[in-house]
Amino acid sequence: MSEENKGPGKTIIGLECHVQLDTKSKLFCGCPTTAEEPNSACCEICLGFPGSKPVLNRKALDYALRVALALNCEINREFFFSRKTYFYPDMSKNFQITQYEIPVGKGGHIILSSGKKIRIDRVHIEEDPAALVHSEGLDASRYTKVDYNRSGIPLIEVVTAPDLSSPQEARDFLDQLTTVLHYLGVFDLQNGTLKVDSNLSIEGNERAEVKNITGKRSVEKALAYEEVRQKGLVKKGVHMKRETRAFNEQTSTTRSMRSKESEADYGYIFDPDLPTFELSDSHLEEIRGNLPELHGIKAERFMKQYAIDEYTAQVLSANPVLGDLFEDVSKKVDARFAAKFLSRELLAIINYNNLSLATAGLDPAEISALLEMLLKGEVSERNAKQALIKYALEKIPPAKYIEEQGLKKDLDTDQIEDAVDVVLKEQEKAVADFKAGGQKALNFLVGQVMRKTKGKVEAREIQSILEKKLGA
Amino acid sequence: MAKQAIDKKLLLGVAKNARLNLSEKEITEFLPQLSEILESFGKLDELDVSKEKPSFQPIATKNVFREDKVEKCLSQKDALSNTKHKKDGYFLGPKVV
Amino acid sequence: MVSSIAEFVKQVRMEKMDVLEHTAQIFDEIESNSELNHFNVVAKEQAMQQANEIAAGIKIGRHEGKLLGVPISVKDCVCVKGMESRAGSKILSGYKPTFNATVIEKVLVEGAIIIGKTAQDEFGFGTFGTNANIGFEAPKNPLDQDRACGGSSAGSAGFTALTKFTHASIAQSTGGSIASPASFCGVAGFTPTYGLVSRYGLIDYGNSLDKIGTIGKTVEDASLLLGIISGHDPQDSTSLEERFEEKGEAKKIGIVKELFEKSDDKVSKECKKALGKLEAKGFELKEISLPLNSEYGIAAYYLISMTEASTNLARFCGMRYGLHKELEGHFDEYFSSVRSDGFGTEAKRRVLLGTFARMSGFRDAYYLRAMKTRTKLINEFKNAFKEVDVLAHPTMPVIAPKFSEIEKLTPMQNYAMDLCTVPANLAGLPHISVRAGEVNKMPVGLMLTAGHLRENILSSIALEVEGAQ
Ligand SMILES: [Mg+2]
Ligand SMILES: [Zn+2]
Repeated sequence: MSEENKGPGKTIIGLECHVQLDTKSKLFCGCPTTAEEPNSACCEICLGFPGSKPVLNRKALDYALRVALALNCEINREFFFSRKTYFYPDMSKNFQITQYEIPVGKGGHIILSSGKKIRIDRVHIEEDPAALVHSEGLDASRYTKVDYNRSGIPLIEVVTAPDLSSPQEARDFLDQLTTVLHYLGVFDLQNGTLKVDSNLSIEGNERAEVKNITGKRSVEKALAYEEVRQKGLVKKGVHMKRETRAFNEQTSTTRSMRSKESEADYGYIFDPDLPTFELSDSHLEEIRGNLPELHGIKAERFMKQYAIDEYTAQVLSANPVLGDLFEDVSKKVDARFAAKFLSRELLAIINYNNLSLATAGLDPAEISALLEMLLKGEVSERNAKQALIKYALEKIPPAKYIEEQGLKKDLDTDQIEDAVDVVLKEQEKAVADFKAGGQKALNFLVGQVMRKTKGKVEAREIQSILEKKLGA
Repeated sequence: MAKQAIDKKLLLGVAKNARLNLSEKEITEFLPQLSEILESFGKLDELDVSKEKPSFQPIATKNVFREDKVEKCLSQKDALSNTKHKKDGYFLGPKVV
Repeated sequence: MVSSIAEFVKQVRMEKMDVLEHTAQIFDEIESNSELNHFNVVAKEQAMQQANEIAAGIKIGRHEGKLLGVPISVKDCVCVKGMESRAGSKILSGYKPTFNATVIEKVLVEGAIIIGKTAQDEFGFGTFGTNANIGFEAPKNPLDQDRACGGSSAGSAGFTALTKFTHASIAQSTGGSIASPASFCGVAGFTPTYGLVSRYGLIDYGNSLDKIGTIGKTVEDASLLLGIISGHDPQDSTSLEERFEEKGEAKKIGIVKELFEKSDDKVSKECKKALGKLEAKGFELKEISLPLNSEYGIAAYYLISMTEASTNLARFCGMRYGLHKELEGHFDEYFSSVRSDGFGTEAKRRVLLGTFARMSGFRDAYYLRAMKTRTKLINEFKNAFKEVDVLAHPTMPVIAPKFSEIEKLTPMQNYAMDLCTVPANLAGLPHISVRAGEVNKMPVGLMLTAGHLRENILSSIALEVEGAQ
């Protein structure tokens, strides 16, 4: 095979993921991690004022240890913090306190949904820089606005080995990672940010690093763009050089950064304002003992224990709140029925309305009551869904809603048949259309009957009465 | 320790990394001074420290923490009180692109 | 005769001493000696207001406070809320801290009056007080104005020697910045164990070396003030939980052979004489050798302190406080422009060397090697303290030099002058410099060093030395 005919090699991807830890206060000071106004959650420490000194937030360390353990890392029993010095307007001290020589965790892994194992090189703790706000207009060319509210929020950085082989795998990795973090209760899926530096290369060539990509979807897009770009260049025989690139959200493309932005000698030193840390056996065991059952293991257990399919088990276990809800509801209601209803209907309502299960405050007892009514045929699926929407959005208990709105199925067969007869009389045209072979007309007639019966009756029941009466 | 002769190129590289613009006069003044100093620091090569652990602090404290509690922070006004580069509650910094 | 702090406070309580008048007088003295450049900030208005409050309190029987009405000056690098705190650097022009250093809180609680910020070498980068940045002049030695005060706590020692009133100063040492000026000005300079006094609010030089300490007219005053400012502080992660030992007996004094040999003969002789008097009082003298510390201390100290300093000084870039320029250009250009204008020559030299020593390719050979060397130097002290309780040697190898002499030194020759003070500082050991004699009518300081947290035995021996003068 000649050189030209040989296609470009495999795609090789490694990720450095920065995740904000969901603590109340910052990594080295007591400022809150949320704020309304710019620069209103800052003190001399996170602003880097001369004379201030850092003190480590115990919870941030515990959270980092949880993550490292959950990602199957080996824990370093003795570690310290370093100063990574570089100049940038978002840096309050022009050095970042991070871990360099000895991270809290090393040598872990994550299993992708395909079963592929992705190695994790290290998990370390560091502080978030401030947020730069680039204002529009003329002024924008002269300065950058800086908000130090974010400065000093605890981050963990999770660094993978170059084991990922496609943008889709990278996305799957990030999904698995955020699920673990959410499970551990250390990451706020709604408000916490995930920032990724991604390295992609085509086998046998130098890699390009795309820095500072926010969000999982953007990472996938940036990598997809890089993969196509690099493969194209390699095909043309262009010699790839190692470089740092930036991602443009608007265009989903990457561009080369000026060498000035990427070239740095961080000159790491031990941070002499902080002590060294030594983990005791008991401290580590306490954290290990409090680790929750993680989603992979939970999904397997769901499949066995409740005899549900793999897909549904995975959906239910992807979110710890949903998993718990399912298990609680299953104590009263048939598990397979509950699994289906929760994984489809409830999740659809939550996602469609941009709600979070963690904050929706759904009571398993209320949901169980609803599902029991549904199973007993006391309420139609349609009205059950309607009641669930009301519950999720307005916290009105479903049983109460059904009662108050008179949505209970309280019609006997005669009453339903009467309603059908009325409709058939009223809708002569539709009846004629149906008889002429119009299936649409049948759906219309079903809808009309449902209206008359306030949706209390299942559509399929109405349809079968209609079909019988129309001699279809 | 590889003896490091400091030349103009290295000096300018270090100065760039430290965000210092050096005048010609400063370069001329610093070059021989820094060479003399570094040569003198090279004295440390005489000692075998291969078995020593670094003493990053003279007395090492261990496991010092604060609890995850929100404490009082500065008002926005106080946070911005030491700079004249401010607008709409933001610090203003030089442009990055 | 100036009364000691303890005596002064007693007088104040008995209303035999007028705090307002005393405070006003000390400001008259500061103003009439302004050409000695001991102060970067003279906080007269603020101090007089404080004095008023204290005087009013005394009238209604508020007598608490170990420093009731005592004028305290503060080295410029220690943050005082609302008071311009520049650490002697132009780059911190206009910086008014939004908070008090822990030591300031401690002295205020005891009724001290903060009279101003004392002059220093920029960020502590100096042995003589002559590395004053643009806008500052080198402080002059009150005993001979052609001579330096010593550094970097130059103004603290200079003014303590000069004043005719009760006063002590909060000073700071990284590699000898309390002992050096105390020695040159003939006052007592007390540098505590690393971590005994909180560094919260101290504008950093080399964090693993920096200690806040005290300078007083006498050992008694310096010790009293040190007792007040020491103690654990949860805001400083390197602050020690322990206090210094309450009691302790010291019998054996080690005479550090190499440091006597390397000092000026006349200076060594004066120190030996003072030690001879101690021997006569029953102390046992023993020659001790510290070959590693006296040979490698300077290099290890300068590498460590410069490396740490180069990261500490990174934050100064004209954005959040201090020197500002018009916001122009790319951030690299703006930061470089502010830093090039704001730092003085010695600061630039140390930032360059410190940056170099931690750059990849060099950090193992310079930064890490220095840190490992430090381990050897600390161990040498540990062994020495198995044989003696206290080590003694000249604080400085010379008497206060003339400005004209200092000008002739190359930076390396200048650094070498710290030979006697850096070892104890590298090891975080408490030490005191006490006046032990004089050469050419200029004071000679004897430096006494003890093991960690043995400040009390230093006080008691230094008192003996002082008493024998
Ligand atoms: Mg990072
Ligand atoms: Zn803060």
